[in-house]
Amino acid sequence: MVKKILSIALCAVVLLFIYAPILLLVVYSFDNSTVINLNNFNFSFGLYRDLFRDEKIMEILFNTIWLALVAAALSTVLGTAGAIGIFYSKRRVSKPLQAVSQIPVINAEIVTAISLALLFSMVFLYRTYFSLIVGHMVLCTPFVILSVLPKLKQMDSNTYEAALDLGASPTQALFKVVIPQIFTGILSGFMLSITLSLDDYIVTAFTKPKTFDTISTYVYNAVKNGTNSSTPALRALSAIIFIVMIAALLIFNLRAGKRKKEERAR
Amino acid sequence: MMKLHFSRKQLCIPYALFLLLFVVIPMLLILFYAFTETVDDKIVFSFANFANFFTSTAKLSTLLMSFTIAIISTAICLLIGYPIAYILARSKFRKKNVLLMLFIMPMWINFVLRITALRELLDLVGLLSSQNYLNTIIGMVYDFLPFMILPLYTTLEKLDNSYLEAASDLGGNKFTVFARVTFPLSMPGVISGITMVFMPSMTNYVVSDTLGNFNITILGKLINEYFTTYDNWHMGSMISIILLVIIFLTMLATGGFKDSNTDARGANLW
Amino acid sequence: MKKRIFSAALAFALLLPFLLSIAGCASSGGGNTVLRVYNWEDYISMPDGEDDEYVDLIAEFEKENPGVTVEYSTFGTNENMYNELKIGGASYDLVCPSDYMIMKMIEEDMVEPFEQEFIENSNYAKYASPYIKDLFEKNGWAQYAVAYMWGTMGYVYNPEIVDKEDLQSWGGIWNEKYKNLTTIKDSVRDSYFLGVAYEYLDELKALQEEYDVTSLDDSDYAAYNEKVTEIMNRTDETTLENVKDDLIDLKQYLYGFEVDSGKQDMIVGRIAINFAWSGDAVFSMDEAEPYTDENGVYHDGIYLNYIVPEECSNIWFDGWVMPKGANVELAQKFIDFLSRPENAVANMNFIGYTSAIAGDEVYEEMLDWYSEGEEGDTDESGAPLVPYDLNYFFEGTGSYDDYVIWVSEESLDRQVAAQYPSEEVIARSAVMQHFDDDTTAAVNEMWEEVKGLPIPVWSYIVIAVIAAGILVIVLTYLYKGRRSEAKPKKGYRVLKKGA
Repeated sequence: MVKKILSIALCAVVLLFIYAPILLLVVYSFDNSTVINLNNFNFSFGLYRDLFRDEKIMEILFNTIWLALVAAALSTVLGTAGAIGIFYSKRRVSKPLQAVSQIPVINAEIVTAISLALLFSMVFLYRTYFSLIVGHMVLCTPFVILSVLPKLKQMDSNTYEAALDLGASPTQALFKVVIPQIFTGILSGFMLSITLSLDDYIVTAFTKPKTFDTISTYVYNAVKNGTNSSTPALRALSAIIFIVMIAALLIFNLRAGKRKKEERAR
Repeated sequence: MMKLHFSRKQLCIPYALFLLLFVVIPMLLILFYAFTETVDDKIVFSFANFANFFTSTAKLSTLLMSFTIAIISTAICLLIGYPIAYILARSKFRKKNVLLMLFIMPMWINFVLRITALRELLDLVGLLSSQNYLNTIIGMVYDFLPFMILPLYTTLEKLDNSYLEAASDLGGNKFTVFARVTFPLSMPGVISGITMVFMPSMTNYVVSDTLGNFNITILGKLINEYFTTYDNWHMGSMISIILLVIIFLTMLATGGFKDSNTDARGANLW
Repeated sequence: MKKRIFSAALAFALLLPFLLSIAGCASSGGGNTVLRVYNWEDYISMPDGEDDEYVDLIAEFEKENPGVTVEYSTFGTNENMYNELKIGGASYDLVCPSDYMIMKMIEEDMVEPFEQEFIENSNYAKYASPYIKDLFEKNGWAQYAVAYMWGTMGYVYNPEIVDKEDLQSWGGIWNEKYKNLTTIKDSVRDSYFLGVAYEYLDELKALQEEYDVTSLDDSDYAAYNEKVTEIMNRTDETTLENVKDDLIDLKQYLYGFEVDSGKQDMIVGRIAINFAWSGDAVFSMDEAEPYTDENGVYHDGIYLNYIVPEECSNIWFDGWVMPKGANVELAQKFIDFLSRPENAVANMNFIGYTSAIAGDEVYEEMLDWYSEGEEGDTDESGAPLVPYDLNYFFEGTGSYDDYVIWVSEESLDRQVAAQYPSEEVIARSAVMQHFDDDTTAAVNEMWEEVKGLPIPVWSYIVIAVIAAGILVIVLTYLYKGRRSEAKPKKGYRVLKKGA
């Protein structure tokens, strides 16, 4: 009993630590003042109005999402193909490939960022959309590999051979047999890529085109300058992102629960 | 059959090319810059940066400081993250997935936004103006805790209960069972957790700048400064190389290169 | 067939970033001529909401010049700008570095000269302040750079917390009284300047007494200014070493270093002293003042002050230069546009900094802001107004004969003195000189140590504890290895036979 109470207490304290700052922002997104002041709260939707009127922030939001989708899609295609290739290659090939693939995962982001900046400055592609997207792909693709490879290992290799025996072409077999079996891995690789891309600051800062901003670079600059008049509106933005997250979590779990029930019913 | 095998293998060619172009070559560039110097607009081979690093008090102090911050942050993450992951993994609560989600959900909110939120909170509590180091460590823990919980949870969840039962049947008390069975079996999770937390805590300067009022220089910041302020790419590359060596050594020491451990890093976030 | 589609998709995946980047270029260009401007953050009038009353200068310029698109991006420090230029190659038409960086870029042959026609007949030639133009001519920059904004450096402070007397000297912030209440710049050169001023306080004071220069027309001005400039740009080994110690010593009293956030921290009262550029000082003072909004609601605030310590100051400029390969004609057009007095006023309104442009519109705006009456009038407390002479700046750029405004005594601690320094302040101010590569490296090394040292004692303790821990673990393993395996391991009971 004591143990249970202790466990619950620990979880509660840690959750409080994790959510206190976010909740603070959510609550004070309904307060108009520039600085959060505990003794002074004037309820208003002012910040939300500012947020949606602020073309700059809207553009940045769009940029961020667009970049994440493109980078994640490209990484997923490249990574899935890479994982299949690695899986069917001889150890002599697959081992070094996997090792190199680990570099961006364990490397410090700043090192990845400057190494890419150096490369792109040499080929006159510094601060272009190309460098930005490649930068994000370097971050994401290894994680796609990491999500897909285990699924390939779990896969029953006989099914592929069976498909061939039954007259499927290798490509048909690949698309109809292999891909469906590793699909959950591909999907989680894609989602992971989106998360990584949305979250990234350092690589973006070193590869982005001059006039392009994502939420990360914009907010960090706002903190650095302190003067940016739209900073308070960012509270509203954080609140919205947070609420969307909660909603996503709820839907995800409700549907997962429903699916389980259905399975049980069968 | 031969032909078919060939075609499936071929699929890794684009990725191999990608890695060569955008991972290997950039790394070689860093290596090149690290061991060269610009003298009269000419680039010459030199060990000067290497020597400079190990004779400069500022750089060595920065290295030590980053190390300390990273070790403390990682230790705190492990101390908080392990019990949490353990409780979650062992609990019989039906919806423990939801609970786990609660712990890792902040990962989906942009980390710069989260750190800014934390900054506001620390400002309200009155820590922001005086406790730069403490704030930085709090920030690192805040930011990277999910990276610790996730792999730990994954390994602990997979843990075969029969081992634990066997251990206690053989006369181990609760503590011994934990220390001699549970913990060793969860090592892959611990190791990938540590590698996921340690490196960013040494280098993520967004956290130290935002919460330390630009008072604290960590290794990542120093590299950044050499490229954006001090106009010395050679030194910046040298520091990067030293950082890479440190990463490599930590991985070697913790066995992070073993297959079982890299798999746990597959980040089962989704 | 599908295989081919798949490989096509793959090839496409690899090529897509390329295509996108080309598309990106095309969409930003759109057949237009692009003017690529690289400026400091918040350094041009640019309203950020629809209901903002500020002028959008870039949009105006684009409207006046159909077919021209301005690609506007910003930087935080001179050094960032320089490195970005170096990494990125010739990708800007117009950048706005400060004095010493302009010198460095000229010396390194990185900039295009202005056309003679522009130097002689542009709006800049017509309206720029004679004082500024003189200065550029004297230093030999006039061909390569035109001034944009200028000012002094000093302390913005909150008089409710800080004693004005303390800040009459640069040394005032090395003070336990103001612990965690001060920010200085996270910028090598500015903070080095502060350190040097502190290091040579006595020498500067002695010099001041010896020459006693209060006006630019003083016969000793040239000699005095040369000496101050020499001191403030000293970089010999002893100076570097001492300044480093001074700044490390200062760190214990600081709230932090800032790139640009000092203004906001000052306005909300998080800090009480900010080592600031005069323009930022004006901005902070404006924003911090109490005010009543359009609904008649009173908002509390602070009346901040600005002071230039007595020993000396820095007079700084940010100027436009055209990097090699720039579109000179278009760049000049943009500067010509910005140099119209009405646009200078728009900029000053928005940024708070002082434009290098004079002229009637600027002076009238200035009268409108600061003049409190005529000669012989009194202020609220009944004290007579004092004259504030600005002839050195405005002379000859407009239709007035005498540029003197009358202000109250307190105002001399406020916006007016920050926006247009008095001649006396200018007389004791030095311009930052460009250091050669070796010196720059040495100063950077010094700065690195200032930023990185000292590390707290507990960090050594932590490292020691960890090292000890590792040692203990290793030793235990070695010891265990030698123990007999027969004994049950710790924590396990030996089960009794039959039990």
